[in-house]
Amino acid sequence: VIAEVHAEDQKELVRAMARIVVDPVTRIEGHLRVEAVVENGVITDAFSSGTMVRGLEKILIGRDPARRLGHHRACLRRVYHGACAGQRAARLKMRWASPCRPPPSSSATS
Amino acid sequence: LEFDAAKGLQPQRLSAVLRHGRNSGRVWAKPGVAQVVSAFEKKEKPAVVWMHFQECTCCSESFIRASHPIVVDALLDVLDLNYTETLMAASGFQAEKCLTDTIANNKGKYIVLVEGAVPTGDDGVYCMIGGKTAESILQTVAKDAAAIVAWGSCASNGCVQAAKPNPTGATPIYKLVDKPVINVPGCPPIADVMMGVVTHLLVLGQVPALDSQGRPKEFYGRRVHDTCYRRPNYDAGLFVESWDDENARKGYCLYKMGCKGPVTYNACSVVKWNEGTSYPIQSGHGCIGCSEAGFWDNGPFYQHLPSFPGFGIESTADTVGTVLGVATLAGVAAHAIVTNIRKRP
Repeated sequence: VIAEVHAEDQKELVRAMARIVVDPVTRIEGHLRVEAVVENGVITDAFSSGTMVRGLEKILIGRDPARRLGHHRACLRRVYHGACAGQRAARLKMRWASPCRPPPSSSATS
Repeated sequence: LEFDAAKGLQPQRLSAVLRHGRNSGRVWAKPGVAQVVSAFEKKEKPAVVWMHFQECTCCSESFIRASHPIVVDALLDVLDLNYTETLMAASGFQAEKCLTDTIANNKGKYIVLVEGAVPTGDDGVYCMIGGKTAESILQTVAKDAAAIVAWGSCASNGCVQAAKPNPTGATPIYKLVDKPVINVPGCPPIADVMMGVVTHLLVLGQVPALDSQGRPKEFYGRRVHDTCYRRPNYDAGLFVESWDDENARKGYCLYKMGCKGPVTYNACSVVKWNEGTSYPIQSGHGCIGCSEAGFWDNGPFYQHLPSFPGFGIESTADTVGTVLGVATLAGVAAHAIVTNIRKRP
């Protein structure tokens, strides 16, 4: 039986099986939930899940590529990565000439 | 001892300035400042919870750049910010305990600052915090709140997630709670406007005067266009015709490049951003109208408003080119009418 216990409860951690749930994970942008399955004091399985979705992909369909500005609002803490990745995507798709060179990390953020 | 305007409104430093001013017989030039300082010093710190729902955290990012007062003073000395997922040290159940304790210990006294829209589609599964839906959390915190402030366009009117087709049923706060909500739209709102709203609540202990859309009149009473420093160019019919053209370098009006300043109510051209450094139009890009409801669906960013032809009371035959002059004069009546219609109380 998997019981939901709190991370601080050390006694619970050494039980035969336990599940640690941290939700919300703070000091991040957005909403994150992390779960870890503990067996005999060792984490044997772990899950993380974003607990908020806005459907931005669906909203962008059919819009003017200039609306790639919408990528800004995917996350404003990495605003230029998102914007430049969106611009690069639009440029590749439509063969636009663009002066914006996306930063390397943006490949993971589009 | 000099008051350093760049450092902002810092309670301790300011009060020292005030005392010094009194002792040396000088009269403080701003009568409101003493009231603000005394409120900041005497009132017990009000409990504040900052809720995060469907958001990009740009409102938090903006808020931490506030300069009057600087955000460190506000958060550490003036406010008792007990819950904000982005900044707080506690995680998981400890974070939730902070929230429930604050509500239980400050019934009817705490301030709720909401960032982000609330998804109502599919029973609210699109935003879950601690296993609870955003809507249920909002109802819980709003029930005993003294004041509710909706930060940004998400909380005020839905913003990007409420753009068509609004797949998650994103809903602004005022439609979900049965209390008055102070809407502070903008994507994000101006840092000093946010701090101004908080300061107003603290100093006067009451909700600021709101317009018909729940926005504080002091910050959202005028259009960006009304106080834009490029307005004389608009009135004279001097427009940027394409990006990086000669007119753009001269700083002409960006109306033809899609500037939404004429239909956007905000304080950008007065308060400006980053401690009054600049604002979008000053940096050469038209206003996208981010503080207006549904701005994602209000037409393309880079096409000028169809019913807003160029016109200026100062434009005369010798300042406007012949072709341009015919075009602008043709729109005289239309502009005047539209301006009056769009002007809100």
